[in-house]
Amino acid sequence: MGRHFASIWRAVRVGGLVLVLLVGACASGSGDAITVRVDYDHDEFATQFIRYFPDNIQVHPGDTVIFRQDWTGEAHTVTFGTRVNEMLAITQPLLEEWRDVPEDHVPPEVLGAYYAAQCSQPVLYGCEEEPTDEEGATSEEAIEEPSGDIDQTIAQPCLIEQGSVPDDGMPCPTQELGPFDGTEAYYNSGFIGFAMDGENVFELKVSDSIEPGAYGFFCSVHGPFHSGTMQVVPSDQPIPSPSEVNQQTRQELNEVVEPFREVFESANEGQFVFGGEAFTGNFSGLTDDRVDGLLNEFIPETIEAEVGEPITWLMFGAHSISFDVPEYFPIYEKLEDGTVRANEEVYLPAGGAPEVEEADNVEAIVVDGGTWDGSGFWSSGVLYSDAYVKYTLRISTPGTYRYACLIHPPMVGTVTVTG
Amino acid sequence: MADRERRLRGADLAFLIGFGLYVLGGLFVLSEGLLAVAASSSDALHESLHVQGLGNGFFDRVALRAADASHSVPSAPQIVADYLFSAIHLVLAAVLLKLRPRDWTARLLATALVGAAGVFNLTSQGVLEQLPYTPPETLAQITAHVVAGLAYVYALLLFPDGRPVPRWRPTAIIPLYLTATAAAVFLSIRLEGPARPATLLLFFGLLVPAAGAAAQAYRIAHTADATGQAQARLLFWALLPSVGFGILFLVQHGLSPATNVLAGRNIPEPPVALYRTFQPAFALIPLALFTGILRYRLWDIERLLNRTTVYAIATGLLGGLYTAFIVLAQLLLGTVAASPLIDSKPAVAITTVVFLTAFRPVRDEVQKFIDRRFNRSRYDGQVTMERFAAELRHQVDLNDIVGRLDDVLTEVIQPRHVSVWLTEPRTPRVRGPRKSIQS
Repeated sequence: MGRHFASIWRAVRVGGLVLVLLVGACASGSGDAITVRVDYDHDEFATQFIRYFPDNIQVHPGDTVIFRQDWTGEAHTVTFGTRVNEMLAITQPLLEEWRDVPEDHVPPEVLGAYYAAQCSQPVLYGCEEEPTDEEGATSEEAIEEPSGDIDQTIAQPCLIEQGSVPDDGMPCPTQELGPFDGTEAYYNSGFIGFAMDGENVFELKVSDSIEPGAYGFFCSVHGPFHSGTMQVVPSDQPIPSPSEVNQQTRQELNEVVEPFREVFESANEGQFVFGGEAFTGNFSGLTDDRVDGLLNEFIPETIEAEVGEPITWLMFGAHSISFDVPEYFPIYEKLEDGTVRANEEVYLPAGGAPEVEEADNVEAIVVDGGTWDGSGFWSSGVLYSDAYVKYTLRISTPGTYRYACLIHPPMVGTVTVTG
Repeated sequence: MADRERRLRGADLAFLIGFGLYVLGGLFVLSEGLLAVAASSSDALHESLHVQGLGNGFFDRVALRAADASHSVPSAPQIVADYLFSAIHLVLAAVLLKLRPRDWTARLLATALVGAAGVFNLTSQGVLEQLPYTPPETLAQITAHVVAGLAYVYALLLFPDGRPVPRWRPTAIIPLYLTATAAAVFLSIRLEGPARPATLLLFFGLLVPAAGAAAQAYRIAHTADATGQAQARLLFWALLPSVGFGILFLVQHGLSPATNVLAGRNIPEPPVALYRTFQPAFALIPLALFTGILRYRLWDIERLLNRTTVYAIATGLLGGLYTAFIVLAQLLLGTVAASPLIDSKPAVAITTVVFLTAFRPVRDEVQKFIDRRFNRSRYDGQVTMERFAAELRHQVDLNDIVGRLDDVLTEVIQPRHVSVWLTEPRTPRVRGPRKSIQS
């Protein structure tokens, strides 16, 4: 019996070794697929980038490109097509020339040309129609509450072989995306999935029959400044390996993160400079002119206050200050019939927080959030200004309270209130 | 009988495959923690893990987790405590299986110890929590917890004699065990949210010692044998701190986290207090088990300890000599340019063969030394046998030989009784049963 046991044990050891080798062989590497990061959440501090990494890739016909999105709170798409190429042919030269110039310093004819090109097809931000009253004049009173409606041509996958892209906001009749051969007028991934459910990947199969050349792609949520190029190279010519592409990606990430590192360290020391102005205090999100992105952190992470003492946050970017929050949910939801809707609960004030009137989003906004008694869901709603929002709140009950931004999952802070 | 043999072999094989995979999984989890620790002290490794982590494969996720976790590894003493805890558990699991490879109580205990080695290692678990689990990872995580928890519960219910408590008939006890198992598995699967690992830990952290303590209390009350009672009492007291800490934690924090703020946000925030509370409490359990095994000489542990000591000393001795020889030779001959004795591979090979050949005699000598020094009865027995063999050459009287044989056997192997049958000459002479000696 002992001999049997020994032989079994030997068989198991050999089997285990074979299993390890098999697992190693099957699971290692990422195959031949090139990976493009859509957005990026850094590991030392929470970030959000309106960029693809890398934004210029080379592929062979028949290759697969994996677009992997870090869920930072912001939805993105990957949209190809001949219409996209036409748009980018106009917008990219303008962006190259004017990208670093504040928008109010850009000549109106340049802006006009840019937005005319951008809005020639569905784009979620930047092409909204001016709300008007019954007499056709722009009016604050005419602004409606968020309805939850999102342009379904953008939010859902969409394939248009030929012709123009409809602007009715309806779902496309064809949502099955086959291999991309470069002749499609509009080839849209729809919103890439939510990272936490593991569906944050859009796989682009490049057709075997695609012609070599440059194919532009962009995010139809954010517009042409969030774009990239896919160079299709004949199969007999070399292209960077997936591993080399990953190294390039990491290098680009390190470059764009560096300004945020400086901002993060400075803010943790109590100071933040933006638009030439120095700020001190509690920060809710930060940004930097050198980066198309946001630093999604509450700094300092813990705020200490007395009961009833005003606590003030300076908010850079679109954020909320929310206490006793429900389990995180993304800014949009997919219904069973495929319809994508905005989650209004994210945007609206809750728990007695005051409603904030719409402003022109250019000047700073100052909001007195009143007093929270320390119990129940309370949210400022999402607030935004191109400058900043100064939000003040008092808490009337001693305790330690965790709070969060309802848009950005990594944004969590603590307020300790003493009596 | 042959069927039973086959069934046993099938069960053995199934256990070994399952246990092997479980050990591999445990080692994998532990090595992820070490990878994060290494990355925290090496920028180059951290960076290369990040580059690797940009890929889409299984190991790319492993690399990304380790790179991300490298920013939040625990302090050095905590890391040491984590891996010391895991190492002790893994070694004890190996010892148990070596002692009782066919014993299901030992197998369950070994499985439980391997599981605890991975589950209670905060450094490693912190790495696993860095990324949202994929469905296979969720399945693996729940399975690992459930297997470790249930194996621990069953092992403590069966320890040490392999008989389940309470001492009911199988028709009553099997449904009881099945129902309890099903309930535990169901509850484990139902646990959701970011606090799931912590809640699983708390669930089994309470269930294991509570069930174990109840089982040992039952044994104390229902075992007449004083040794059995002492074993049960030792284990019972070792389990109580875990029960106490678990209840205290539950009263303070409940089964769910106090705030929902982290739910769904994928922010790793390991329950440090929970780990640091349960880890030392759970370390007491295997230590008590082994104290019991040693103290009451269960499962032939002396044999294993003896072998381990002998091999450790013999290996250390020869290894030390080998190293010393090489170093000395280098010092003496290093100045001689291109010394063929030292630099040539054949010389090294010859030296190695010489030392390997010397291993067996050295081991035998060490064995003799250990027996003489620490295992007197065995040494004395050997000496007695040798003396008896020498006496036989001069002894001619059969009665004296049989009498002497009786004495020698009694002295050396301490049998309950001794019988000697002689077929020659014509009338067989029988002695015994002579006496009964409790071994």
